[in-house]
Formats: sequence, structure tokens, C-alpha cells
Amino acid sequence: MTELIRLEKIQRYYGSQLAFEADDMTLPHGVIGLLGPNGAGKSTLMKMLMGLLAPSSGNARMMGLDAIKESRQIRSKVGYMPETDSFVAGLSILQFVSLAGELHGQKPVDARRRAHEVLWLLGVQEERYRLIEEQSTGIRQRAKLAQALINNPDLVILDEPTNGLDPTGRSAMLELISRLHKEQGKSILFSSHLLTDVERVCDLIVILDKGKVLAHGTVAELVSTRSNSYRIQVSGCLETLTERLESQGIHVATLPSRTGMTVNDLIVTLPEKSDTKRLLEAFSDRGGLAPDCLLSALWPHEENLQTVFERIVTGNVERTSHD
Amino acid sequence: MTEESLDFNQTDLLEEYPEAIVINRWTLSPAPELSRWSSMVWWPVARIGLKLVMKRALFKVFLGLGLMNFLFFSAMIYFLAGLSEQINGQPFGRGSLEFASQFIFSGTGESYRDFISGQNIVVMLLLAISGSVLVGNDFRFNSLSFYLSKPLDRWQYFLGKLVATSMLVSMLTLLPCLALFIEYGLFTDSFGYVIDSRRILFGILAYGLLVSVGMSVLLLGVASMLQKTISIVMVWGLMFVFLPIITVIIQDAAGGSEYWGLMNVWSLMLWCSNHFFGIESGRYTGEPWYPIAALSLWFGASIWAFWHKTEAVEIFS
Repeated sequence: MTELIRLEKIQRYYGSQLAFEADDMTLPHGVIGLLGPNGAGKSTLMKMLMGLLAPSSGNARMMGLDAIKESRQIRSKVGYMPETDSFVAGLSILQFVSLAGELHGQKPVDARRRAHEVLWLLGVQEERYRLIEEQSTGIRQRAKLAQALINNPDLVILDEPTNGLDPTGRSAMLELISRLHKEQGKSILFSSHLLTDVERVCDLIVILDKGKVLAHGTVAELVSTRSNSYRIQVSGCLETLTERLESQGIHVATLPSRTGMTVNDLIVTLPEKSDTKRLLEAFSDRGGLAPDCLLSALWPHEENLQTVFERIVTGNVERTSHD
Repeated sequence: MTEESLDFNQTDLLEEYPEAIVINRWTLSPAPELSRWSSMVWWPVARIGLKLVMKRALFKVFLGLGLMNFLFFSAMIYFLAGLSEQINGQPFGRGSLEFASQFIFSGTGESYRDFISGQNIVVMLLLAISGSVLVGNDFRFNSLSFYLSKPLDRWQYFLGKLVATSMLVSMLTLLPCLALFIEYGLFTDSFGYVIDSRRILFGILAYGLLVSVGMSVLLLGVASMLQKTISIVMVWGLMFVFLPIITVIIQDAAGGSEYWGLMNVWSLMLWCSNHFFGIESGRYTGEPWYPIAALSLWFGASIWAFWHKTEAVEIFS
């Protein structure tokens, strides 16, 4: 895969507040998910990539173009679907999408033809002749996507594309996004708070928090970094066992107990270069453990994107507070 | 056929069945070639702005009002020219005709200046109600972030809006005035009138452009700051109705000091128009650069307000 985004020791400050910082980093073409809580720096990064905001230091390149010096060329090659409704009130969907084409320099007649084509592709049929502000959220989202595709962009930036959609509409939108990549060859930069959406469509994920890139890689790569994590079920000795494991450098997270069950679910993370033998040893030494203390189950803990995200972002919060 | 079954490898299938017709609704044709005028991206902004205003019923009412004034003058030119032919050589009638022309339409610089100045009232009302459609709604409904996420710079957006507003104003001022000028020449003194009245033609063009562009600049500033129709109408009224009244009151209180008149946009434009048409102005006799500086200050403040508001728009929220 060729290079889509290159960040070169980039920093952006608002006054003395650091809004975004990244060392040298390249991201290939594909579907890239940007994850991060509010204020993580997602918007700052996107603004800098499109040349709408100059970095305080360093440089950003998008599709080989300098984000500041060649901002207009970048915007002509990029389609942007905003999170919030940003329409020209009083226009029909067709007029709105055609206008987007004309703003890219297309002739009015070509822009109109292209608008029909894109709207048909996205399943907007007779609604295209109606006023955009009177349409349902699903149709408006499709109209926003259509205006982003009017110039046949190499990269489509999608900001919360499933916002406000019902489960069926959300699924259809994600299907559309997947197909845009698979069948139209578009690269996609996908920003969302819905981790399941990101997990479903993205090849690569970038996790941001407090203006820093905390992790990036495929979902498989991010999850595999926690191969030494296990889920266990114990009964009769939760507090004593937790203390013992923590004293041996094994991190313990207690899952909420289920009503009416005496068994406790724990997630234990072993130190690097140690295996389950170390965990079992903690049980084999019965000194100090109650007679009814029992390890009833142990299996590898498989993380999903939600848990990976929470772990990475929570870890960053803890590190920041310690600093 | 289920959607999943479309995920086959088409290339392999076409090699196996070369005669097959592939129906693939997921194929977009390449983007169309760019227009020769692709650098004029401000034009779609202007065209859409005009279209949105022209759809409004109130626009049609004000356009009708403005054109009624034009039609009255146009009919009078025709009527007086016809009457002039009929009473040619009759001393009594001739005198009455000249007397009447002075009050209705004499074809001098003053007539055209007064026509445009008279139209300014309708223009002011039209712009007060169009401001939110042309500019305010772009801020309120986030259209600006749509425009600026395209390969369009802020100055091109400004130019598009300026052209749209100026075209609206010139439809009521410059264009009808030019039509009257041509009509007057045709009905009175053949084409010689147009040749001999080049100063008047210059005056019409200069004053018409000043009103069209100047009022548009002011509107862009006010509408970008206030956005809603009610607020725009109130401030517009303050600028063009109350401020002139206040300046007159202050002038009287200050013993007739003409410098207070510099606060009044109407007076400033009228002063400029007198210079364009070569009319002796009795209202302001001070330094000529004062009115120019005062007008520049109004326009500069409006452009600054517009720029400031557009810069604050977040494209990525």
C-alpha cells in the first residue's frame, strides 16, 4: 500500500495549550479509523491535513502534497463529510450536490449529471428533488456523503457518519463505506466515537488522546499486544487473592459480579515474559488462602476494540496524572 | 442475487465468460473534466445566492416597487418627448413643457442622481430582508463550512457574495438608470445626447457601482455579524434612518458644523455622486478626503467584520 498521510515531527499549540503532537508517522492508503475522546486532537489533525490550520512546527503531507503549500490541491482531491449538518438552506438535494461539483470547478451541466449518478449510487431516489432540510436524518447523511464523492476524491474524510441513524440506517451506511473502499478504491479517514463501527470498517486504527498519538495499527495488532492477559473465575478468596497477585506484579481488574453468583470474574495481566505458571503458583501456595478458595476457570482474555481503547486511554490518563 | 454474491472476483469471471454483460451498480464514472472557468469558483456562490433571494416573494415585491419608479420615469420621458413634438413652435406650450421637465425628468446629471438616490430607499429595504438569505443563513445553518471545505478560499466566498448582492442592487439602480439614459437619448436628441453627455454616463456608472458595491459591502458586514433578519433590519434601520436623523440634530445643535454629516452614509454617497456627475455640492465644502476617509472607514469595518466572522468558522467541529 502506498503512503496516504505523512506526519513529520508535527506540533500544534493553541496559545500554550498543546492541541496535537506526533513524531514521524506514515499511514498507508486504506480505511483509517481515528479514535479518541473529545479534545483528543482529531479535528486539529484533520484541519492540519487539509491545510486549514498551520502546524506550530513540523510538517504534514497528504497524498504526497504539502498540507500548507498545496492546500487547495488537497481539498480538490479530498471529499469531506462533516459531522454536523452543513447545508445550503433552500436547495434540493440535487442542487446541493451539484453545487458541490461546481465548487470543485465542474461545468454546471456535468456537475448535475454527476450528482444524479452519485445520488443514485447511494440510493437517494425521488428524494433528490426535495428540499434537503426537510429530509430524514438517513437521507441527509447520504446527501452529505454524496457531496463528498462528487469530485471522485482519492480520500474521503468521514466525521461521525452514522450519527443519528437507526440501526438499519447505520448498518447500510457502514456497508456503503466498506464498498466505497473495496469497489471504488477510495481511501477513507473515519472519525467516530462508535468503536464497533470503526472495528467493522477500518483496516487501520489511530488512537489519540490529549493531542498525542497513543497507538496505531490494525485491530489485530492492537489486540495482540495484550496476549499475556487472562480471564479467571475464583470463589471464596477475592480480596486475599487480589492482594497476593498484585504483590507478585500481576495486575488484577475485577469485573462486575453477577447477581446471585458466588464466583468472581477477574482479568489478570501478567508481567512481560511470564506465563500462566506464575499465576497457578499463586494458588498452589495455600498459605493464607481460605480452604474454600477455588480457581474454577482460566482462559485467554480476548480484547475487543472497546477494551483496547479504554485500556490505552485510561493508561494515558493515569500516566498524565502521575506526571 | 444477494448483495454478498456480488463480491466475486469479476476479472476471473470475465475471463471465463468473456461474452458476459456485467451489471455493476457500484461503478462511478470518472469525475467530469473541469470547466475552463474552474478558477472562477466564486461564481456558483454568487449564482446560488441570487437564486435563493429571487425565490422569495418579498424580493419580487421590492423589485416590483423599484421597477414602478423606473417605469414612471420611463413613461414620462416618452410622454414628454411626444408632447414636445406636438407643441413644437408654440411658445406658451414650450415654456410649460420645460417647466414640467425640470420637475419630472430633465436628462441632466441631477435627474439621474436623484433617480438612483430615490431607488436607494427600496434597495435599503430589499437588502435588509435579503441579508439573512444571502449571508446570515450561511452562518446559522453551517453552510460556510461546506463552502470552505471545497477548494474555495475565503476571498472567493466573499467575492461570490459581493457579486450576488451587487447584482441585486444594480438591478434596481445602475441598470434601470442606464436604460433611462439610453431612452432619453433616443427620444429627445438622437444619439448625439449620449455622445455629448459622457460625463453623465460616467456619473451613472460610477454612482451606480458605488451604490451597488458599497451597499453590498455594508450588508456583508452587518449580516455576517447579526445573521437573523430581525437583527439585520434593526441595525440597517439604525444606520440608514436613525443615524441621518441624529446627525441632522447634532449638526443643528453644533451650529451647523458640516463634519457631523460625515457619519451619515447617505450624505457620503451623495457627496461622491455630486463629484461623479460634476454637480456643485452645497452641503459639504470641507476637505475632500474627509468623506472618502469616512466611507472607507465604513467599508473597512464591514470587511473586517465579515472576515473576522468567517475566520471563526470551524470546518471540523
